[in-house]
Amino acid sequence: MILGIAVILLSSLGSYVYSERTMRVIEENDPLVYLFEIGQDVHANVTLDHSIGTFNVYFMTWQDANRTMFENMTATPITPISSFENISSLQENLYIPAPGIYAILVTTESTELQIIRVELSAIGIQTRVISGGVLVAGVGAAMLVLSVIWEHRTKSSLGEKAK
Amino acid sequence: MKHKLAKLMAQFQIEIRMSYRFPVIEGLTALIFLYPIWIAISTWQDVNIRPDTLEYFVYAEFGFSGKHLATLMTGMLQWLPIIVIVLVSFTAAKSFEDGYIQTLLTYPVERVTVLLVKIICVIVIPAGLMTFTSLFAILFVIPQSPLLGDVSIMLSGVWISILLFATLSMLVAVITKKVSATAIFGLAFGIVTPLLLSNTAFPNFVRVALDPFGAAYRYITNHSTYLMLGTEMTPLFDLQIGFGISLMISLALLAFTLWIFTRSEIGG
Repeated sequence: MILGIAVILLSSLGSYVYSERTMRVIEENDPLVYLFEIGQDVHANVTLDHSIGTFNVYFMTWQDANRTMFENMTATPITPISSFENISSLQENLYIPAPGIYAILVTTESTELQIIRVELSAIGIQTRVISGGVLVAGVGAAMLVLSVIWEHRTKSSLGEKAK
Repeated sequence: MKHKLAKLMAQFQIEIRMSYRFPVIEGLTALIFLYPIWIAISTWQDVNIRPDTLEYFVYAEFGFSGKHLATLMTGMLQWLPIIVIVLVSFTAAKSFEDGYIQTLLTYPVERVTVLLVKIICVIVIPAGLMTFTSLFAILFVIPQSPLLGDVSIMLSGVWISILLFATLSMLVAVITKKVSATAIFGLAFGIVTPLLLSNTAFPNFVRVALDPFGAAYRYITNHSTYLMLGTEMTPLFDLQIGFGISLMISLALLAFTLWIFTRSEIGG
């Protein structure tokens, strides 16, 4: 039970908001793929440095990202989890279906060089780790209750025998 | 047969109650379970943004499997030899020193059974906890299911390493009958062997045989394109041969230890 509670506490400690940002130059034929591991939902903040032109952002699994790499980085062969097209900035929470490895693909139709800033921040809690902690804590609690019942029964049966 | 089994179970109960009292098991569990899980949680929650190249993607499946298992193994690597040596020193060598082994020998069980139960506990308890930690992490912590082959190599490395450490330090405990000698020899072996074996002049299978967990770690990290340790790859065939040799060395040591124990004089 204590172990389960410890795992829950560890996951809470591990869920502190962590963000990472990067800046890249993109143009029509040189899109960008970011790959990231995540166990909880993520907030994406994508902006253009000079706010000129538009871009597209596709949020996808890493297997889909793999496919886009082989198809010259276009979103044609894939089914993204979510897509945002012809936008000049993006501030969205991306809800992940399950903990895992995901990617975002940023493309633009602009022929000019664009400086793009990408910032990802983990939000919420790591549900899968917490469910593991709850399971271990539950098994521990059940064992504790069973041992108390067992002890009580043994004592009462010894008491009856003594009588 | 039933009677023998009951006696064996009774011997296990005595061993667990005497040598693994509170807080031994609890402390072990905290070290073996919580430390690697914490390493895994704190590593993979990071949002690692990487501008990836085609090369990374080609090896993605192997890379992710290796990366995640290696993270978990990093948490185990430093504790594995120390835990086994401490257990052997305080459950076997100490019972020679304080004379408790004499009490055990007065029970109606064979001499071999007394030592065998101690060895089994020293192997099964830490290896079982490490297996539980690995399975828990695979189910609940690491984001991508690792490859089955990698998991089996990691677990084989854990069990064979613990078997080798336990039998070797148990032999020292039986010969010297001293806690200090067992601990010093065990720690020296645990620290010096990997350092010596980092020399590539030794054939691969020898390096695997004497340090199975380290070899499994090297094999798995080399599966990951993200870790890029720059170490040479241990071929799978060498790993299997090395594991086999290590297993045979351990069994030979076990038989020799039991043989010595049955013939040694216990007490004054």
